[in-house]
Amino acid sequence: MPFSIVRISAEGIRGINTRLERDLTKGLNLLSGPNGVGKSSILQSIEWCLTGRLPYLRGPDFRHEDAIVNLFHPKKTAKVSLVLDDGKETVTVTRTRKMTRSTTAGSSQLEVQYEGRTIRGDEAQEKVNQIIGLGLEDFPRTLYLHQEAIREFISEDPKERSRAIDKLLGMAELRDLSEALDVKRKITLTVGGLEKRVEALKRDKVQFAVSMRQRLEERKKKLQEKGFQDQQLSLMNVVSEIEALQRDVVGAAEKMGATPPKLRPTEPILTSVEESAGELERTIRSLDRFRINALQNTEERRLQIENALQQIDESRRALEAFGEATVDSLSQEEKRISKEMSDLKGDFEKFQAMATEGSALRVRLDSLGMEISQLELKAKQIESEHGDEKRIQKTLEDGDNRLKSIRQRIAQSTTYDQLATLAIQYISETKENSCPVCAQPINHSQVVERLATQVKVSVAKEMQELREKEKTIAQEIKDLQRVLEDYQRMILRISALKENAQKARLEAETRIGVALGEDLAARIDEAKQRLADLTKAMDGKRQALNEVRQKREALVASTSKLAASEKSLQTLLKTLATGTDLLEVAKVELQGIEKAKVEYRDITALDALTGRHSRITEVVAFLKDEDEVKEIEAELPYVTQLIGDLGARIQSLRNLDGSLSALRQVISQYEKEAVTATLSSLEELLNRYYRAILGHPYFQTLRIQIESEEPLLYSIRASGREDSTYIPTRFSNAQMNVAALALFLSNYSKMAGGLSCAIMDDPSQSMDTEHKKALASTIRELAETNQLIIATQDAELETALRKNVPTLQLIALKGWDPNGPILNQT
Amino acid sequence: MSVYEKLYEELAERLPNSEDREMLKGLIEALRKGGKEAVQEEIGKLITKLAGET
Repeated sequence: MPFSIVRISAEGIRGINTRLERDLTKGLNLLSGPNGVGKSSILQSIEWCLTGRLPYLRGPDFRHEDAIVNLFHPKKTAKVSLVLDDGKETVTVTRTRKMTRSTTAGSSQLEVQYEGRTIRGDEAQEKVNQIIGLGLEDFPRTLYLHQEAIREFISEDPKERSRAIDKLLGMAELRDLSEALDVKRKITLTVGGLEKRVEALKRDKVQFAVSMRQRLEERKKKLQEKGFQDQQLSLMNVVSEIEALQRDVVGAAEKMGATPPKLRPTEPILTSVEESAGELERTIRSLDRFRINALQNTEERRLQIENALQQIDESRRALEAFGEATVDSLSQEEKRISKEMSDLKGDFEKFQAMATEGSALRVRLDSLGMEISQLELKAKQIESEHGDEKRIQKTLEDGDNRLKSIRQRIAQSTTYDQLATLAIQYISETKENSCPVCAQPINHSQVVERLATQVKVSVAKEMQELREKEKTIAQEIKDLQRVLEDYQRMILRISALKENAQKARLEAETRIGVALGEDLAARIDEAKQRLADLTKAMDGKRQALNEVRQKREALVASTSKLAASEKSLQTLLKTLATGTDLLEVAKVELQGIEKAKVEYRDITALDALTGRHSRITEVVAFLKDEDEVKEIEAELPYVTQLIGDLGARIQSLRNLDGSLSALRQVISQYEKEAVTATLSSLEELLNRYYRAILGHPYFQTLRIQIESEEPLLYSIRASGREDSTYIPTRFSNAQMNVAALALFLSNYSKMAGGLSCAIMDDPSQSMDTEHKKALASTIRELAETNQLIIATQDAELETALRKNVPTLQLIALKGWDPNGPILNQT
Repeated sequence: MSVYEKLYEELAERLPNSEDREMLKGLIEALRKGGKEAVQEEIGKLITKLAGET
């Protein structure tokens, strides 16, 4: 009796975090639930525990993190235990793994307990292999139908579909090996690269050396044609030539008056010779520059000397124009004219003061005279109107008398009015019938009436007239007094002004020291005329003074210029000679300069040196080429060896290509034989399952066969009573799924060994109801003798299985959270 | 016997050259350890070694 898995305990693996424990039945265990609740994680736990692998967790993404260990597990450790039982023996298999950086990195630890023993590592894996009865690589194709296997099987790509069939047939590793050996293109490219390098070496080194040697011989021939002897084309001879040229260059420098160059000694090696040749070239160029500069300097000196001579000549001719005049005589003349100008200036100032003071006085007197005339006119007007001062005073006395008289009359009238008032009062009170004075009979009423209407009115009228007269006379007196005061002030002012005029005249005459007389205007005109005459005389003197002064300054300038020119010439000629001696020295110097110029213009010597240097340079270039050719030729043995080595490598790669081709041939042959044998042995079982799960209503027979060998591709053909077809062309995805299931189940039925458990993940993909019922019926038959663990999210399949399989244990998964699948066992 | 051991036995007996058998052994070991990519890497290294520093 084979082993079955009777209990599973898993934690920290894939989608399972906290420990999940379940007993499993030896018949059908159905994991049911929607997508993403952890069904596949439970199936993967079983595969991983028994084999230590999850073959579909491959690819670049899985290398960057550990996809086996659950992300949320507190200890970051995956642990799965399976209890296996065959009725006689109970074996507990436990595998653990610590999270690592990658799915493919790290390892797991296996422990197996049975009959009271505990074994670990390779011994434990050997025990598991023994129970399963298969190689670890056979597990996924024989015992575990993955979702991915079904998806690849129904792929439209023949290559992918063929790879899926290989996986189900156990040929995937063979296909991988065969594909990995397909490196012919890479080897060809590598060999091509090496061959190009060999060609490059032959071209760039060997052929180059030959062409360089030919070029060198041609160059030698040309040198010989130019007259070079063989012995001249040697390093030692060039050294001698350079040394001789160095001596001659030094000699030429000394002859030119240049600082002799310090030339390096030449060693008999090519680099030293090159440096010396270069140094000589620079030195000869430097000498030529020196020659040109010397020629320019000489010409410049000649011009300077001739310029100084011209200056001297001009200065001398200018001095001759002054005749007998000297600086001293001109200075005396200047002093005399200045003295005359000074005398004229004294008179000028005297008449200028007279004219100025006279004019000012005239203005002042005119102003005073005008004011006096106006005052005298006003005084005469007063006199004509009021008389002189005595008359005015007499008029004032008369006025005072008249005023006194009127005021007496006013006092009498006032008394008379008071008497009338008293009389009225008395008579009214006493009612006298007779006059108290004359005692004549009176009518008191008439008397009162008469006193009131006649006497008092008459008196009042008279007083009024007297008062108006008083007022008029008083005003006349007052006005006349004001006139008198004005008149007296005018008289005083006229007197003062006349006094001022006299005083101003005396002061002006005192300032200028001359009596101006009464005819001031004539004196002023006389002074102005004298001033005009003096101005004219002074201008003449000033002009004469300027002329003498300019003449003296020109004489001084010419004398200075002559001295400066002679000094300049003395400096140029470096001599203290003067006068004609100096001119003689200059003449000799100019003759020397002309001679030097002729010498500096001669370039024959330098041309000869340059010609010799050119010949040396040609030989040096030849020797350099010869050196380079020798160097290239010296490399040739190494290059030849390298070419040989590369040839050997090319041959080795071709041998490798041959070996790999032979290997691929052997693999291809073996693969063909193995596949043919396997398919032949599975064909009957394959068709039994295919028909059982209602593969196709017409095409009842399924056949998988090799379509092509390079690469190995399969065809899946279905046959009816008379016709056959390639199933990818006519089959639905559901029918393709049935074909995949048939292949898996036939393999399982034929190969399963010590472990009867078949695991299927979502086997009803794309199936319709009829296919699911047929699948449920097939599963029921299998479950009678085999343990099945099936995961599905398909409610129809679940219903069909619950109806068909009485021993079914349903493990319902309601959902998933970070702790893992949420179970609901029924 | 694992798939790889069986594969080596089946293929090796068809190769007359001992050097080819030795190479096959190495390649199948690489296949066991790292699959197809490991074999490609192994052959790549071999080619590089034979080609030398170019």
